[in-house]
Amino acid sequence: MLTLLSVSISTIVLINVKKWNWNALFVALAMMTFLSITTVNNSGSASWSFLSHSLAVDSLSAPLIILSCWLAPLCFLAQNVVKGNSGSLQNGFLALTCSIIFFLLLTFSSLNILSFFICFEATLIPTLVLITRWGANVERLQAGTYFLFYTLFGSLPLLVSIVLISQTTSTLMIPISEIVSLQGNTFFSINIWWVITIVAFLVKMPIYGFHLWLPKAHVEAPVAGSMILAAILLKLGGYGIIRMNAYFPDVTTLSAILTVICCWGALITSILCTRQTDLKALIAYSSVGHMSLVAAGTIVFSDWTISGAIMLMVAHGLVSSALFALANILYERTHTRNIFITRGFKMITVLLPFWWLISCAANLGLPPLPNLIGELYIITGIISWSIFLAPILGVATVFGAIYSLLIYQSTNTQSIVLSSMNFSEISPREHILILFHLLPLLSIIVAPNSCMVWSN
Amino acid sequence: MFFSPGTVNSSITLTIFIIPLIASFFSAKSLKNNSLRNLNEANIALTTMKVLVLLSLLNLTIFILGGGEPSVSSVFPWLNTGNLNSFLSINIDSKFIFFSSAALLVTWSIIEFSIYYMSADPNGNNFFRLLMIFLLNMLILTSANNIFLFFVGWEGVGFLSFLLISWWSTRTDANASALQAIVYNRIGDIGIIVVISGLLINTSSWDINSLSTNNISGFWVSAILFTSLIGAIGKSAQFGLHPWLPAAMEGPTPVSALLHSSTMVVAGVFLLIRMTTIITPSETFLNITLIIGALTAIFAATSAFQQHDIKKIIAYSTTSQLGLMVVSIGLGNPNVALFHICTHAFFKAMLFLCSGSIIHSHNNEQDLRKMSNISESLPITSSCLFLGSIALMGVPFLSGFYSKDLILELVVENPSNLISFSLAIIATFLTAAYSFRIITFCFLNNSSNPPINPMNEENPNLVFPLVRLAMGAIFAGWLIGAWLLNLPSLFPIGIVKAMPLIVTVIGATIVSSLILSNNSNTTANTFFSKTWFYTSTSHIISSSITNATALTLTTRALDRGWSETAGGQGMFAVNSDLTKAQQITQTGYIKQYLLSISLIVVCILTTAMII
Repeated sequence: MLTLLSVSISTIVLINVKKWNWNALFVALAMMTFLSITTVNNSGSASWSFLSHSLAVDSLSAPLIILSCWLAPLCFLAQNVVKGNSGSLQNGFLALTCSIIFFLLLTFSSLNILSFFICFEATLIPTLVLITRWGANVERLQAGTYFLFYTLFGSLPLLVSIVLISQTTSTLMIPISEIVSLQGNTFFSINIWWVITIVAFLVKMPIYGFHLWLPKAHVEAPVAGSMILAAILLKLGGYGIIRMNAYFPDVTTLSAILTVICCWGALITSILCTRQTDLKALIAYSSVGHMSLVAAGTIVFSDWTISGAIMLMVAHGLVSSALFALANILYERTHTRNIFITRGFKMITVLLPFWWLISCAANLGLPPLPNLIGELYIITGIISWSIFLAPILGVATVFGAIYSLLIYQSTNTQSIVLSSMNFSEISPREHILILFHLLPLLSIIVAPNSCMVWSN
Repeated sequence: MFFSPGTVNSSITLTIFIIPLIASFFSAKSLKNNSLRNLNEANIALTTMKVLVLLSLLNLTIFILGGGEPSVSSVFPWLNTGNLNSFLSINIDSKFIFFSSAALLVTWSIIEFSIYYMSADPNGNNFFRLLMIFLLNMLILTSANNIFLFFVGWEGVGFLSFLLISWWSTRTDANASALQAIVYNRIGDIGIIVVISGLLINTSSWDINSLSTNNISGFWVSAILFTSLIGAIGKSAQFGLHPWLPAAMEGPTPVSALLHSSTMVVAGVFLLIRMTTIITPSETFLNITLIIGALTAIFAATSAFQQHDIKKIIAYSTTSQLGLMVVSIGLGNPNVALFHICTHAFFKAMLFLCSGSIIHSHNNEQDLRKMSNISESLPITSSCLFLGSIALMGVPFLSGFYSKDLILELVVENPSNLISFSLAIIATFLTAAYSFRIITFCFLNNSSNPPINPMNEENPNLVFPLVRLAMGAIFAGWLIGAWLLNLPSLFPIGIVKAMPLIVTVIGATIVSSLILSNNSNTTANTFFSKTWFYTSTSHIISSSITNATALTLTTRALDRGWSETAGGQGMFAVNSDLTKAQQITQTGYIKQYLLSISLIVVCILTTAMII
């Protein structure tokens, strides 16, 4: 674990390598990815490994750590436009991305809630700069404001709650959270305590209702920002809820209400997606829908749903990131995100429709892709909790299929509209970018246990 | 015996799985430099199919000789989590063996036909690849014992159907139909997802077979049965979720022949066969299934009668036959449904290939009224068309007779339900009617087709498949019914046995005389040709409700409305109002500041004095 962190720190030094800084960083981060794969816990038990004074990995955080490492070099591959900027700006971009990855690694591997919280907040600033500096339009400033204040609104209560936990249990170590389950004085106090603890994560995920910052941020962010945001930063929310829920085994009333809200949120967002005209906003809203499902899974908090939630988080991280990368490939050529104008690319590209197809199929949950495994586990857990949620989730999957295939159809089929567009060939860089998003899905299919937690 | 037939069967079956998988990855380009032979994708596909047919027939022989004992073989440990051990296991029983043999025989012919039909297509290679992947998924679906594996096949065939319907992707209609197919299938999938959840919750296992051994509460048994019925309704286009099947005729004709008549659409029926053999179904379930099946049969038959597109007539006839299969499940005889699946595959695929040949020869004209006199211009096609039609009608000693009559007799034997009996008889009557409508129009002697047409049926890739399927349409019923499958033996009285035939003859006679004389545009005609107005009403209503919900409710009211007002914009408004209100005090007049200071001081002092 320390090796991993030291490598990620040393990447920041590599920025100063003249002329070759992109390649050097890319290689360093790729090496880091290989290193991170050693953290996979194959025993299938929920034990901690790579233990040091304040950092460790268990089967919950290992997939997310690997995902963070995996996505970092891909961001460099995707964000090609920055290479036109001046040298210092390029360095700024590289440094920001590296620091986000560094803080993410710390967040996922901290053993202490306070350091977890600090690193959780620390990822906010580089992302904010990424959105507001490299975004395309003026609206990026509003998007940045939304992003910052929605997230901050949630995290202050969390800080209060952490102080309270520290005061009550006199320790903040995560591994013993299951032993020191918290008891409130009254029914209300424990419920309120639970809510102020997880509201930060609910905003971060985001569930429906706290989601407004996400489409704005995604639409305005540069592609690297979108990718990191969709792939990893959203997963911080799910990770946090799973970690913090261990303190509150007795909360049932509010968690029931929240589960139902999350299921409805998944339905509402997937209906909403069918009328989106903005390609990136559509993908962003589909993230909200999927993350609502993850939230429902983490709040129900059974073995099935947690395993499903992790599986869905990892799979959704890869797939939505791939979709944003694909959307950017089109955006760089057409300079519009309008879904009715960017269409007909099957006529002029060869491999691109195939990438779109696989990504959209994964997004809708085509078996045996891991998105479906995750969804199935979560749905099974939720149905065993209450059968009345089955129709809601069922209709949500139907609409999920509709909008995913609408994305595919509207971008690829029919005749081309922008006939005067200057359409440069899809470069090998872009093919590799998508290929490396989709390859890990295959390995997860073969060994789905690597993304699951089972307590026994 | 030294080795068990079950082991041999399972190894042959796995070989059957692996071959199309490899074949679909094979690219003709990599062979080009090699130039061992002039191979292209189509030939690879055809060779693969020949091998597969051989293997499946071998499989069938060994299975029959070995006594027909079902066996389950676990292939690969997968998803071993916590408390459940799970294997990707396949189930080799009579259902899979018979279905796979019939399906592979039919697919062989269809792939050969598509070499003829798709010869001008620039992306032909991909077409064959997709057909191969489809076939693989279909075989997985029918053999799977692990429900996840089953779902892989189930969704896989649906998705491949989406891709193949929208094959000519620049056509808006094709895209819309493809999306429609996936929407209806996904509605059915809600059922499958609940089935999977029910299985996991109740048995903690992925194996479908475990439903029979475990003690499951009555609620979950009926829930699993009814949700799998929903899945079957979606996949097999039963009444309610049927509109996608006729719309799917936008795809190329080989696709219609393979997916939308003989293999994919029977997946739903196949699921019901599986489920009702494992779980003993309740009376209510059987009756509901019976009524749905009979309703579908009658609905599709009436709609087929007034269509003008030749492919749509055959599509509705498929729906009607699927209804009959579901009827036989509702009667508690899943084996008969399987029998009808196998015989139906042959003659329905042949009908589609005939229509493909006619369409190709009439310069892509699909309107029945513009076809005529094909017995002169396309002799082989027209004789096959006639043969297929009478096999479909159930003329004695063709394959349709064996299976369809059996279902009708079972309906008679079943004392509970007069409605389904009368519906089934009317459906038989109408089957004869619409089949003879096609025949009358196509064989009419006046020439209503345009004069210049590329009439040609000398391509061996067209003739051989047709003849092969014709053999199937003649012999398959007798072969399977008399020798291979254990079917219930019935001894109906003479009038019952003769009833379907009499009805068929009457129907055929009436229609062929009626069609020429009566051409009026009555309300009933419109009602049937618009397919009971089901599509026109339900699609408009559901899509406008969805669109309105998506736009006004979710986007405008919730997302741009309440969420913004309670969230970002609302906060901003409150803050700016507060700031503005506070700014009023900041006027810059020293008098005002002094006044406010003194007022505050007075207030503090008075409070202090009071206290």
